[in-house]
Amino acid sequence: MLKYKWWQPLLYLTPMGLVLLFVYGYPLVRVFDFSMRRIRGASGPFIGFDNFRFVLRNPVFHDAVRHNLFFMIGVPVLVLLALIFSSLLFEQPRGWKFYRFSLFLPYILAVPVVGFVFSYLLTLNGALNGILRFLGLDFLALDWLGSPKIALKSVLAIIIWKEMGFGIVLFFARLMSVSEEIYDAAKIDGANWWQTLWYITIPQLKVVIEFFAIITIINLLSWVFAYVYVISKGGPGTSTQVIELWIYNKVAHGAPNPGMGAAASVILFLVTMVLIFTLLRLRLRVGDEE
Amino acid sequence: MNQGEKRRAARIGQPAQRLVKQALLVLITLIALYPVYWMVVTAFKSQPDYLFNKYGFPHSFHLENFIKAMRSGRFIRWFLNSIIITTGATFATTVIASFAAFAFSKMPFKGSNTILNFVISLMVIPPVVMIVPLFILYAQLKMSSTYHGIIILYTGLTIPFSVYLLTNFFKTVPHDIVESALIDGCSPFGIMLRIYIPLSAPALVTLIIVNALWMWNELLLALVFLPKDEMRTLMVGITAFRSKLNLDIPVTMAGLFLTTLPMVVLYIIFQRFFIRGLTAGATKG
Amino acid sequence: MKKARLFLLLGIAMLLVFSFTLVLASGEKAGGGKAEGPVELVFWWWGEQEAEGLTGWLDETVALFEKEYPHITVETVLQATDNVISDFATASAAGTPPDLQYLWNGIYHQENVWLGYIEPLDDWIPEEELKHMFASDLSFYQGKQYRAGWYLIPMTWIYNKKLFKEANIPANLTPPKTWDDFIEVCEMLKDAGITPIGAGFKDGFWGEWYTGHSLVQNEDSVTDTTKLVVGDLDWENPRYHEHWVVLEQLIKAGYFNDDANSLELYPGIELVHAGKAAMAASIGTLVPAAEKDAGKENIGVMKYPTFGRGKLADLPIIDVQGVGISSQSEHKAEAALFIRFMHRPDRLTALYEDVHIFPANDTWEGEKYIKDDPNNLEMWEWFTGTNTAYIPNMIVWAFDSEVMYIAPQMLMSGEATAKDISKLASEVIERWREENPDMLEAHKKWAGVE
Repeated sequence: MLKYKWWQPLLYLTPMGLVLLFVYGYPLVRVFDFSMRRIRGASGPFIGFDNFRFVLRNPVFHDAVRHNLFFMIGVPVLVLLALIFSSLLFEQPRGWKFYRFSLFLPYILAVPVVGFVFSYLLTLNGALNGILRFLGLDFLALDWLGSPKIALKSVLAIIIWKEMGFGIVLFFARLMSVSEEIYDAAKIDGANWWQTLWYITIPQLKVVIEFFAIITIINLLSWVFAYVYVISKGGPGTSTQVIELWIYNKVAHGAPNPGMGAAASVILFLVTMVLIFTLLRLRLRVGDEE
Repeated sequence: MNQGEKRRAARIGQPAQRLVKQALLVLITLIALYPVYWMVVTAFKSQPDYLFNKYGFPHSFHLENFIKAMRSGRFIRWFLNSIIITTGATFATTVIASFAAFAFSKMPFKGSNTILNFVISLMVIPPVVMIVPLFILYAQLKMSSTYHGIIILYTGLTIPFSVYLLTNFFKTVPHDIVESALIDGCSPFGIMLRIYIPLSAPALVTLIIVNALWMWNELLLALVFLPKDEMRTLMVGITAFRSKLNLDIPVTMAGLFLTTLPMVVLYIIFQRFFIRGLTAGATKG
Repeated sequence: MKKARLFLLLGIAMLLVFSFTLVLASGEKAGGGKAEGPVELVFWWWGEQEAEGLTGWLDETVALFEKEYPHITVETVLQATDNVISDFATASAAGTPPDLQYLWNGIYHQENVWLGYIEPLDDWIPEEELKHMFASDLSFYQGKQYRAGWYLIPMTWIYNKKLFKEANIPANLTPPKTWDDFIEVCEMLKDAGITPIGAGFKDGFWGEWYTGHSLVQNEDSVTDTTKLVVGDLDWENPRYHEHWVVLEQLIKAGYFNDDANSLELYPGIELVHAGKAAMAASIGTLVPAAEKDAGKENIGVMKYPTFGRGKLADLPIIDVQGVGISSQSEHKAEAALFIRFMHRPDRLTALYEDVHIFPANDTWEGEKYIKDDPNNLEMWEWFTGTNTAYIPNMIVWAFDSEVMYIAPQMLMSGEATAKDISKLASEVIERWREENPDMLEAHKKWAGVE
């Protein structure tokens, strides 16, 4: 190790410490305080746990939570897509570099842009339905974003469309670092595609799959605001409401109720903490492997 | 089946299998690319062309759409704002995280590992949890709709990941190079500057790209903390001024196309770094 | 070695200094300038989003004002729809509000009045001038006027005369006035293959406009609306949700465009401009665009046909956007001067001629300036005659997003009936009452229903 004076590391860590204190420290402490007050402007009277009661009984909040939970279906779907297509890419068929480039492209696009484009593509008389009708598949030309029954699924589909590249490329990168010999041995033994996938690929990818699953769960819980805000603003009705949007609405707009927004934030934060600990334990396992 | 028969069976299955695999890849690629294609193609259509022909190729290339898009709202100003904010915050986070990562990896002390883990786990906290208190604080400090206001936020939110990435990378720098520098009488700061930074160039570039991408595309915080129209980032601008752009969809697409172009161009050029950086979470090095 | 390190440190220092200067240069200016000498007013406003060209008018007004009062400068800041009111509330609470603030009607500014953030104008603007700065009854609280009107928003429906002719609709039904006439017209249009009503429900505003057009028809006074909010009247009373019942009937009869749930407000209105639907709920500020797209002679304005039986049933609806002064402004006198300047006759006329919207001042000689524009003349006469207010302005925000916005969406998708919606309305408002006891008290005082 380096020889250093005791104060040197602290000096190096101070800028980081200051910024994090401001951006994370202050709000995380303050939000608990706000959650117990009826906030008008910058502060307000203490009302105990009333805000939590209001939040937890609010039907729209229930809808939001249900919808975020519904999005979790995306986790197995994304894992499956990543497994299938990363294996396909791994065999490096002709043009695999182009495929990888194209599949990753949606991931780097901005969510607002993606949201807008799809909100036009998916209108009742929009391009997608146009194509479906052209192919004679009229019965499939549904009101993707206008019907409350389908809207949420459509939003999830858009999220999957954008995020799948990440999983595919992630798994692919991991596979590339796996020893070729295992796969050669399998081929010699005559393993078919399915057997290779099940007995070799998946065990090799186990850690990455877990990591990806956790990241995706967290994403679908707390990083979908931009999609919903741009595509549907929570509608039609409340069919695409999500937790972040619900909180945002309590802060912006005509007559905000930041106290309730804070209470919902606290709830979301505590749930996320549980996931953090899971991730930490996972990281320690990754660390052990190195 | 004996070995020979197995192998023959595998070989016969091969072409059919390969066809199916290629078909799957082609299909998913089409799905991935079609909306982008649609956006680009629509951006070139004139309004009547679009209304008549929603998903085909444009009949003529209507470049005025781009001019109109840039004139609607304060497009150019928003673009500049995005650039200022993204470069400012990216620079800040890279510098701050570099110092911190160096300390964590090369100057460990009792408890530094715990602090490191704590900082990294902050990555997981959703920004939405912070907006209520910060929104009110910023109103009090008059930091709303300022460059430094949002830059601090973006910096703070990207530090955990940046520290994670750089610490991991710094740890892989072989110690003998450091040894010789120490013998030469270099201070820790000198070592960081003259050895770690140059060696980390690929990691730094990757980090810069990942952070810049995130900040360029960010919406929620920019929406809450940059309400003033002329301070808005591009993403917020195009979202907030939608009612205007709504009426002419090709122009809207032209605007979106311009918005997304910088990052796509960077992606095409620096593909390797994008992919490596964004997937660095779970792969080694 | 030492030189290289020095160079690098210098470089970093320069970069920091550069960014710091950049940051300072673009920092936001304080609300309220120095006390002595030159005065700087800050005006947070909105409106370009609904009245194209208003920015130009405002810039011109500021230039002329600064010329006449050289020691005063005015900084105007265009806000976003989502933030225009909440930013004012937060800034006021933080002690850093602007001097002048754009204020939507009713609850949107009244809540800030109750919190003490808005200054009554009676002390700053002479009465003979103030009484003509129309801001509607909803801008008053306990006898004082808190807003000066800026421009009017006649809440009008539009109809496409060309399509009416195509469907052979007789002159006495162009446009329809009673409910029976309305149904008859819709049927005739439908038979002729024309979509009778064009609308976009997706972003919710249509639902609010609709409530404004229809609920008021069953009220005897606008304070009935506040009674519905505080609980003196009940949403589940058939009289107060009949407007959703008739909407349900219209939807079930197939009078709306089938993609109403996937279109936003403006594209829905555009259907009438483009000749794809015959009637639509719109607003006065959009009529010029309609006339431009469809041809002046092809667009007409109409009131929502009458189905209700309240005293306010047949009246046209005029909303008005306004401006107020922050109670914490250090330059209230200068701010008042600016408001009065906005109401100079030439400025009022410029509002009409350049931005094509109506100034909110009843001394303006509409008949003189509105030439060759029968639609505008008609709307102006609505203003100068007996009119009523746009009542959603009196209902709380939670009700907007949780009931009014989504009602048409749910009726269209069949997810809910009108009766379900009335129940939802009742629940939502009940919850609001429990979560905002302080606002509840203020609402009661506002409407004088103790």
